[in-house]
Amino acid sequence: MSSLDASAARKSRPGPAALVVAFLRSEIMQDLRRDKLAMIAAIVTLALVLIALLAPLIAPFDPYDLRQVDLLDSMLPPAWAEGGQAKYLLGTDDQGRDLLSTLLLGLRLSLVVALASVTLSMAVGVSIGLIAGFLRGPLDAIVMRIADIQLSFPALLIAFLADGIARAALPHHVVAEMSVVVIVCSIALAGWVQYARTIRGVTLVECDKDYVQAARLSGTSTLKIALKHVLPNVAGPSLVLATVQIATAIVTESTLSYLGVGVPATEPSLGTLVRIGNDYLFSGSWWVAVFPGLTLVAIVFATNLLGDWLRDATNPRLG
Amino acid sequence: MTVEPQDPGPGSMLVVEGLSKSFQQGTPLFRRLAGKAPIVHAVDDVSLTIARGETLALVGESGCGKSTFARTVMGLERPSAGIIRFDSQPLAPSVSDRPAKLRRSMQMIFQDPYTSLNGRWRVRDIVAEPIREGQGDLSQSAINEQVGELLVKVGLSQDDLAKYPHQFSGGQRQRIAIARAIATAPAFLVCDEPTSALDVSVQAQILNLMCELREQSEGLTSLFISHNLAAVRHFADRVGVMYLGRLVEVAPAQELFEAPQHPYTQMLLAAVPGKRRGQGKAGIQGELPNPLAPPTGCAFNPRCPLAVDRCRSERPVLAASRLKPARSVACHVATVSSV
Amino acid sequence: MSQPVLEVRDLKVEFVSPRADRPPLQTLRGVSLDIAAGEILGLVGESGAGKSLTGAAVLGLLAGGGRISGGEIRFSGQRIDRLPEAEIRVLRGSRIGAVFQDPMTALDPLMTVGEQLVETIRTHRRLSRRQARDHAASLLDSVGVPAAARRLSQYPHQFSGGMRQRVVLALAMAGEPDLLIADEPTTALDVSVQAQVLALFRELCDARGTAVMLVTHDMGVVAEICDRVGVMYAGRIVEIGSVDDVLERPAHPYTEGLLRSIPALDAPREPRLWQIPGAMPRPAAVPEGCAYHPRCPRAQEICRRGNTPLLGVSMRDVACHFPNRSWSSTVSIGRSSAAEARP
Repeated sequence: MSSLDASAARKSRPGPAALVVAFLRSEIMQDLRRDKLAMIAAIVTLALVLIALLAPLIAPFDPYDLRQVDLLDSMLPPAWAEGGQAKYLLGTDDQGRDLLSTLLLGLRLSLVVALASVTLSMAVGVSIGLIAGFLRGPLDAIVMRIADIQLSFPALLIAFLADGIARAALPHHVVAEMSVVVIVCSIALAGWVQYARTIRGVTLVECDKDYVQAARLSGTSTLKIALKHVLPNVAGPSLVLATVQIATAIVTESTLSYLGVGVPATEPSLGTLVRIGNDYLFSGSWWVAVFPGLTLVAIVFATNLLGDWLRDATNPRLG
Repeated sequence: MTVEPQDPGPGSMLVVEGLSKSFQQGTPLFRRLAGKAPIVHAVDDVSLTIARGETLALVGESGCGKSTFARTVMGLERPSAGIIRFDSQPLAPSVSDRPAKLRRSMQMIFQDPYTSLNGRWRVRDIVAEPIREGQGDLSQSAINEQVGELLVKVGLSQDDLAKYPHQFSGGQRQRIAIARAIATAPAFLVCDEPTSALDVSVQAQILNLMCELREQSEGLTSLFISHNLAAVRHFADRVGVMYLGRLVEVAPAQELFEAPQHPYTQMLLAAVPGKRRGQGKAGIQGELPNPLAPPTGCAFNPRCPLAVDRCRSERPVLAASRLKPARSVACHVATVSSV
Repeated sequence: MSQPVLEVRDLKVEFVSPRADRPPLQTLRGVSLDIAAGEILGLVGESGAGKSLTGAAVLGLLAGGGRISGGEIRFSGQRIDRLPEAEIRVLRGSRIGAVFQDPMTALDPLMTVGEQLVETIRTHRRLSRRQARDHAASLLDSVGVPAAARRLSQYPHQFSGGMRQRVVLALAMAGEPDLLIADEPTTALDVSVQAQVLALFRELCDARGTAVMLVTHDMGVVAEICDRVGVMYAGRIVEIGSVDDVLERPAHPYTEGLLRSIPALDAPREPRLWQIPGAMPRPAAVPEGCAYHPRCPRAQEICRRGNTPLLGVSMRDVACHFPNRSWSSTVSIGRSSAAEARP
């Protein structure tokens, strides 16, 4: 019996190296390698995420440090253009900040906001979907009608509203300090519906399966059934949805920042940079808007493709 | 109403009186707009008794309510009316309201071993679930030992403990489901179409395994739901035939198959394929009526070759035959001819 | 003897894995059968034995990476296994009909039953709309749909399960096919409805001389309406012959075991059913030699290697080195027609 236990334990707890190898050899990685477009998307995403993580180390300047900023250097074109300076590879913005550094840190901020808001909306949405699918009845009806109503408005409008209300309700200095938190919550509020609806649907299907009935007969409590039986079975769809939603979250954050209600201008995100650049676009200073814009397109496109691929790859009906 | 002979003594394990289960059709919104939702009586006023150690089979075509009856008895569906007594004690309508000890003594084997096992759990956790929920203080190794023994008992091996359901064939999965059902050594076992999702050669294996287990656990009472009449004849002591939510005939297995009394039972037996070139199949006609609008009187009357005017207006009750009290039939015509 | 409607010789089908590093999966490993006009051939076996696949291969409907990798299929003497998709589709719509387990796969939910029938009839025969509609009504009537003329204007969802399968049968018969492939046509139906639909199959087949391949897992269905039966195991036919011979005097140990393991309605009740140990191997793990040898009580050394030939044993073919010949004194031993036709 003890040797049996040991072998079972060996089987169930492989080392981290073995896990990585297993992952690289897994069905899903094989699938990814076959799909060239998804592979490129994965590489672009991974590269951009790595750059964003290492931004403070890579960036040649600290754009948040006012002492390093010289207004006289404002609106310099990229290094290779006429009038460009070698130390400012992509040129500078209207306040004389190095555009490359600002862009790198902006990318980091955009990704952090997107990840945080997607995580939050997934946590909220999955919980609500699970509860609604499990209890059914009037609570389910009410929650789903609210979800329907919210879905009939664009997500951006919801985020915009939530952000506006938070700004109006909270004291000014709190808003200034907590602007990132406010925007994360706003985007999350706009996004939970997707998870709640999907997870409720999957939960309804899972609850009708006999393993849930068998668990009830075993005397397993409803909470335990929800967490140990149903949740693992709905985790897949929620993760896939999250990957798709990241692109949406990045766009929402950028749009809010572009409209000037997002993160503060002192710590610009990609959207803020595009807005600033937009003001100078017609005076010939194209770079301030174009480089952040291109980065935005790249990251959104890559995560979107990756999300689509993951959704197809994990869908047994298509696979 | 005359029901089959009541045996309130210690001989009966399960006594069901006037059990009904109806479902409302349509969404709540639709119900509000329409004023009233259409109602399907999936189980309609069914009374029966299962003696201790007896295997009672319920047969009938899909939609006759046999599975709903089983699920209602097990507390997975709330009955609309009726009383269920187990071991002379009334049962709470929902399984979660029944005491743990009672729950452990009533278990169930489901039809589809692909949905009745959680694909994300290992075999040892699946089989251990009812054991764990009963007594939380057991150590992992004690549970593993118990589960290992159970797996051997159902024809699997100890090596299968750490595997996942997808590593097994349909028949092996059903063995795992059986191991889970007998893990708490239940006194009453419901088998809901336990072999109909399996291949023919595997069906025999599973039926034999269930016979074996029944013999090993002296006094195991079971309710066997099936549309496979040959399997029922092989496995059951007594058989109940259901049609459109109602019990139309109850009889000891041998007598029912040798001399079916209700015209529906006769038709059902004649319809089993295997006789050459449609011998004796002339009387088989029609299909199950729409359960939303069941025929008046006897539900079988539109398809019944013997139907008379009385069958279209008056609903026959299930009555014990005066000559053979072990048999009862709900038919105006058959009752007259048999008495 | 006239030419069979369908001749299948040593048909092999493999499935190409989407993963390049895996070899293709051999799912049919050499299937040979004939069906004559007016004959119903039953193909029985457990799920995964290849019976549905044989039907799909004949119909040119192999999906999910499946392809014919060997052998040939002849329909009225003409090879059809290499036909381009467009030609096989024409054939499928007219001279080869198909009925599947789920009637809704054959019916368009958005068209009335009458429209679907008229459309099918008019692709085969030059009839006016009115004539075609009359013909459709008579077809529906012939498959036992009551008030046929009135029901032509109804949609498939307004029909019950059994009636829907009758409509599909009418649709398949509308092209007056020479060959009908029926894959578990009554499995989804209740037993009392099944009996009616099976009787209808037999009637239509007798009346029009249609050859039918009936794929089923139910020995009872075979006994009920088939003339001949092929028993499949792990991608091969292990025994093929007349229903009376195969079901009453099985020669292959698998057929014997399978038949003995089915509880009968009229046999005396035994404490235990006969059971075959183990399970059929998956296509990826078919053992060498006779695929049945690990479960076979008669297996010898010779069964574990090489190919088991289809032997002609008293009017039937059996793929076994040690077929049951205990009843052979009553029946003459000889190779059946299918075996003679083989080169």
